[in-house]
Amino acid sequence: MPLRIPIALAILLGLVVAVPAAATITIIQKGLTLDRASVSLTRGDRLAFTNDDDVIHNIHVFGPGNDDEVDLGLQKPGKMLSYRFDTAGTYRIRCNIHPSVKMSVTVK
Amino acid sequence: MPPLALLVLAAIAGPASALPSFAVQTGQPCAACHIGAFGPQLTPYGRDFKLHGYTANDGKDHGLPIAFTVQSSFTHTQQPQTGGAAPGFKPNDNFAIDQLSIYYAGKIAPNLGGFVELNYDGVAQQAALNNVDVRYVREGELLGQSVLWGIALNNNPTVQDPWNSTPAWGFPYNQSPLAPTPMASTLVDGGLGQRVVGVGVYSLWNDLLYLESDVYKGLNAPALTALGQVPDDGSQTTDFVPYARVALMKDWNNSGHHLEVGAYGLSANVIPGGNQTLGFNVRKTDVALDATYQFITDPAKVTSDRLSAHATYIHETARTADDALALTGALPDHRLDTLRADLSYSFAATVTPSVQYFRTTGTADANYWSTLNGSPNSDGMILEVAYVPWGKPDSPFPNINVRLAAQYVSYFSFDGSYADAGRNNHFYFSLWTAVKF
Repeated sequence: MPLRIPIALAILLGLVVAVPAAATITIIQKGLTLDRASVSLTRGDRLAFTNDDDVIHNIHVFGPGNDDEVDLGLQKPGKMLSYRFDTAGTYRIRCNIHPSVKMSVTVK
Repeated sequence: MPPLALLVLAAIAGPASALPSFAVQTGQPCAACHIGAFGPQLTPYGRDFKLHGYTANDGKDHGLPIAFTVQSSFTHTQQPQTGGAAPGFKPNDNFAIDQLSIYYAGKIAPNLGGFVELNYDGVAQQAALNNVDVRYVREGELLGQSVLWGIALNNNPTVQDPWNSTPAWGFPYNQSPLAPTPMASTLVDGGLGQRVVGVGVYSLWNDLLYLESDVYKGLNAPALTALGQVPDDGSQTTDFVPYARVALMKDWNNSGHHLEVGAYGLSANVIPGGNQTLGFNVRKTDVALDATYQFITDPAKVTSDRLSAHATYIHETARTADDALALTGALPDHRLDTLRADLSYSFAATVTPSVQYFRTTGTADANYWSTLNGSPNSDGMILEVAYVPWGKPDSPFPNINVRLAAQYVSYFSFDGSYADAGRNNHFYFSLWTAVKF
């Protein structure tokens, strides 16, 4: 009985070591640009987009298939939008309002 | 307009900018697209919106993109104009409704958008089809870099241009219809506006290289009349008119610097208006250079201060038909060179002082130019201060925008004369209102 707790802790720690935690990368949106033109992710990783401008933005995710797309909606100044990439492939991200606010994402 | 009526108008209208339906469609304040929070001087985003075919949007349904603008003014010239500034107007100190305009302006379908402007000219008391710019746009890749390309339909060479250094949208953005203006101007400098219809293709590669090629077809006199133009008031042609444009641009978004240098030109066989060549043709070829520089002090704030500078130089050669030479006594070849350069600084997208130097010089010929000494030369300066209270993110009236401007035009020479140039100097006070219902 007294060994149960150490064993449970060991298993838990082992799992933590065995399964890498999903990452969240913050993309800063400021001055009608994103601070990165491209990024590489692992499945399950997440991108979080800031809006540091004083106008409304939008985040629209295209991919990985030709017909796949997710519109995260409008983003008021100061609001954060995020998206988790669960499928491997190549994505494009852009603001529907500001066509030059865009980046590419590769998920492995 | 009484204050109460203005408030009612603001309450029932939709968000507004110089073309308020664009603001409604994108959910952006006027200042996002326009230096000084009122058109037509474009910010980098305004150019981007235009190049993408006016289709960028916030995903909401805003109904038909219809907008209205009204321009009213008061003009004082240094010397009264004998016989009146225009039919129905006094020799001096005239109030006028310069223009009433209605626009269809915005996205038409995916990848397709544009604007169509109908005007009522309150001075000439004439309704007409004004500028049209409709374009279909796609994006892709070329040589590993992004490429934007489009097909554009328009009726005024340079109206499709995204920079304010070319004639159609150049400074001054409005000017008195009741003040004297110099007689000579090049063909690409508005001489074919609303008198042709054309289609072209354009591309922007790697946000660096802009290329455009158009072919226009001149409208005949019945078509011009049907569209509200007076055929003899300007150059006429029924030929095809090629137009080309090239520009290099660079946006340093993080530091707020934006630069463009380019060239544009056209060639046309026209019959000049006003019976200048007794109805004979003149082959005019215009080659021009232009440049734009903008500095945005804080790219993250649409209300940040903005410095803008534009310049263009147009060189025109004109060869008169041999048949006309004996009858008119004119020289066979004429040159006309126009230089314009302007500088403005917009404080908080609210107060924008501007200054411009302009000069036109050319071949003197008393049998060609109907000036007193046969010279087409004019030069001078324009000083302007514009005030735009709204069109910003925190504006109390998101439904309406206005632009108040005081402009002073000073001529150093006018139609070849230095001695009498100053009599054409004038003040122009204007109120420009834009509304989206």
